[in-house]
Amino acid sequence: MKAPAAANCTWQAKGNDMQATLTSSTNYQPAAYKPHWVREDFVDFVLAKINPLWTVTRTMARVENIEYIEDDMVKVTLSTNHLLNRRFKTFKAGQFIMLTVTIAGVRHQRAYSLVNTPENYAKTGRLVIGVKRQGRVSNYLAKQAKIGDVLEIAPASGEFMLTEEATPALFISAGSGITPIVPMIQQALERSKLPVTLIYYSRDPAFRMELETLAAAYPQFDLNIIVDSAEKPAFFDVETLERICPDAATRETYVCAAPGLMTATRKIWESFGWSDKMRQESFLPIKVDENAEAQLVNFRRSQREFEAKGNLLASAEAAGLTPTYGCRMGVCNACVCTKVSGSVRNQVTGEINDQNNVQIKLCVNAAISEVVIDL
Amino acid sequence: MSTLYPEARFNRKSRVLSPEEVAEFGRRIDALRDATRAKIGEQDAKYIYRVRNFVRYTEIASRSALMFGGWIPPVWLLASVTLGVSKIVENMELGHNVMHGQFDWMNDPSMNGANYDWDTVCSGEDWKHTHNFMHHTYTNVLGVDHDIGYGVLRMTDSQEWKPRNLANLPMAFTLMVGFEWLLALQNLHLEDFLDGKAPLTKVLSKGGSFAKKATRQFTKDYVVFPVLAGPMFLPVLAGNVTANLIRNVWAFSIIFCGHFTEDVEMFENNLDKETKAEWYLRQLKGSSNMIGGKVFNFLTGNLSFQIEHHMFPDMPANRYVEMAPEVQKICAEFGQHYNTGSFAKQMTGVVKRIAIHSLPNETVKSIRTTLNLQAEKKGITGKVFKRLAKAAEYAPL
Repeated sequence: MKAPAAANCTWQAKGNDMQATLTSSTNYQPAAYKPHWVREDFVDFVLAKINPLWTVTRTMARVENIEYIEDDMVKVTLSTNHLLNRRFKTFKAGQFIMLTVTIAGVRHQRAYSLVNTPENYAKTGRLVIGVKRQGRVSNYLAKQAKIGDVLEIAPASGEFMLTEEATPALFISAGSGITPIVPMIQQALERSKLPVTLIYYSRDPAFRMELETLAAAYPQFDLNIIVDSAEKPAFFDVETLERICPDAATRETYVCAAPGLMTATRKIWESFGWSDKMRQESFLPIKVDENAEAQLVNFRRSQREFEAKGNLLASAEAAGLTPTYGCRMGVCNACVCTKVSGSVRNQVTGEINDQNNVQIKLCVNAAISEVVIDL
Repeated sequence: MSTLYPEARFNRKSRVLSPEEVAEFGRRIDALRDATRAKIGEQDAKYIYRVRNFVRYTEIASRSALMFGGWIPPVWLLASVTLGVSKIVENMELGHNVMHGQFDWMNDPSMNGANYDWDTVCSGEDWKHTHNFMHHTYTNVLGVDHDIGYGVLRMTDSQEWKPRNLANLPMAFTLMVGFEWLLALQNLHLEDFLDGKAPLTKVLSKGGSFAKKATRQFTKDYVVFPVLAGPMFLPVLAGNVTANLIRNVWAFSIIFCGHFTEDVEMFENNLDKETKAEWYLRQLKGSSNMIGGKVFNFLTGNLSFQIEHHMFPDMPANRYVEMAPEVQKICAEFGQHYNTGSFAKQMTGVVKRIAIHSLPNETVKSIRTTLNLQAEKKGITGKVFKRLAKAAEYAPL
């Protein structure tokens, strides 16, 4: 039971957490034309000569430390210059930040869970993210990024967090799904003496030391790390639940893992009628079904959803939408828009684009998964 | 090809291709595009950032020099010319290319075609309509591509002659001097009002972004910077006027050399069934290149490779220099004329085209006949007329 890495994955959290992030981090274009007096990137360019963390509207962070915690996990510490940089105020345990790195001339944006607590951030001005070494951006962070590099981040978002009221809690996690859970457990332990249980499946448990330190310091913390292997995989079921946490019915449950474990827990909680006491977050790899005929496309700003068969522009028009277009052959750039998430195939070049927050031309792209577009 | 366009519309320098050959030509061009696209990466990103830094440093340096040393004539001259060069590069190699989406793949919002707005009067959004869409899709198609004469010039014998075309040359001169302003107004189609086709209110109703952008550009160069300079008001004002003028003249020259040289062809609106391969051929026949060195290419925004730019408008322009020999090779294989020459040669063709079309076709023909007749005379008179007749020869007419 191993969760895929955070990189190369979309965040499929409850609610519209991606929306919150993206409106603030990408270039939202107002309807009315408004020429700028001074280009923002020009001002940023001048400011960066004085201090690379100084910018007009973007949020920058400096890499303070990169540390291997387990074979395939890296802990990256970032400083945000939080006294000057008021844009990054704080976050809630369980949330993530969007991190932008430039690799071979291309800017890539990925979500990473924060593994330190907000209290710790307030004291030190440091953000700590957990990075699983898998995928282009995470590998870059683990292997090529250097202490002192300055990266762009977007303010924290995500709705996977503790309930307002302190309650007894059960955390279920697997693999790199542990990252958002570490600060949540710490916060739950610090704010009340109510029991906290963690069931954590992993072949190579990350944050074992942090978790064991917490278990030693807080008697109400019941830590269960289940080390499994490819030959002997462990599965979560009702028996395991009853053995480790017989009073699950009285607890608020938080699950972050790969789809298999998410489905398993959801089914169990549904069968007991406890669904409203469970919060889930998962790293889901994009499912690309290349043979699929129709895909669901969401035009976020116009709040319209439609089924696209093949060409995105033609499908949008067939659905009664009127996106701006020009040549309809991929040369004039009039129909360029931001693809927030999902995969598309360029019908001219055959290239598949599965990245979030990138520019695509509607007239030469077809959806090959569910797609969200900033239009 | 020949089934879609009357043969006469094609330059006599190119062979008429069979439909199979046309398709093969398209495949070869596509293959070149794909091979080049596969190479695009870090190098191109570095290039465009270097261009942007060049624009920034030259702008900061020239504006500071004008502000603090503008009263010293050599400093004023150097600073004004540098500011002009800075504006040329911002306009042509940075703004024009970024707004084509050539660097969208970098995913950098500040280098993104949809957001970018350049340092010239024409608003980014108007430009994307008149240039990226109308001009690049309908290149040299009469009645659709508004760049043919920009509504004020007569550029081909297929355009109906009007008495106002007698002023073709002075009109072109005006267009050259105030190029950024006329480009900014292009989307409004002011000539529709002049020709009585549309009321003034309708023409002006599309001028919203023009008004905003024009106010900003005017205020910035002619009010804010001079006022900031205090006692240096006049040298800074004069420097800014000069820089914009330099940029206008240069941009006009390069753009006209790209589409209105002698061998460039115009097309009838017959595009319903045009294939991608035929579109490539039209781009080839509707554009012309200029031969020059590295600095020249840089200052033209690589529009010295107008043919490549028109075939691959969204390919980073710094790649045209390596694509051009390949395109030329493919053209040679298919017997297609690859229109290129020195800046002087192409510019001469442009001036000739503008001059000849200021007169009705019939008048030009009768002048030519007269000159040819006179050229047959013996002695010095005959020689003079022979020269004149040669000068009046003009391919498309």
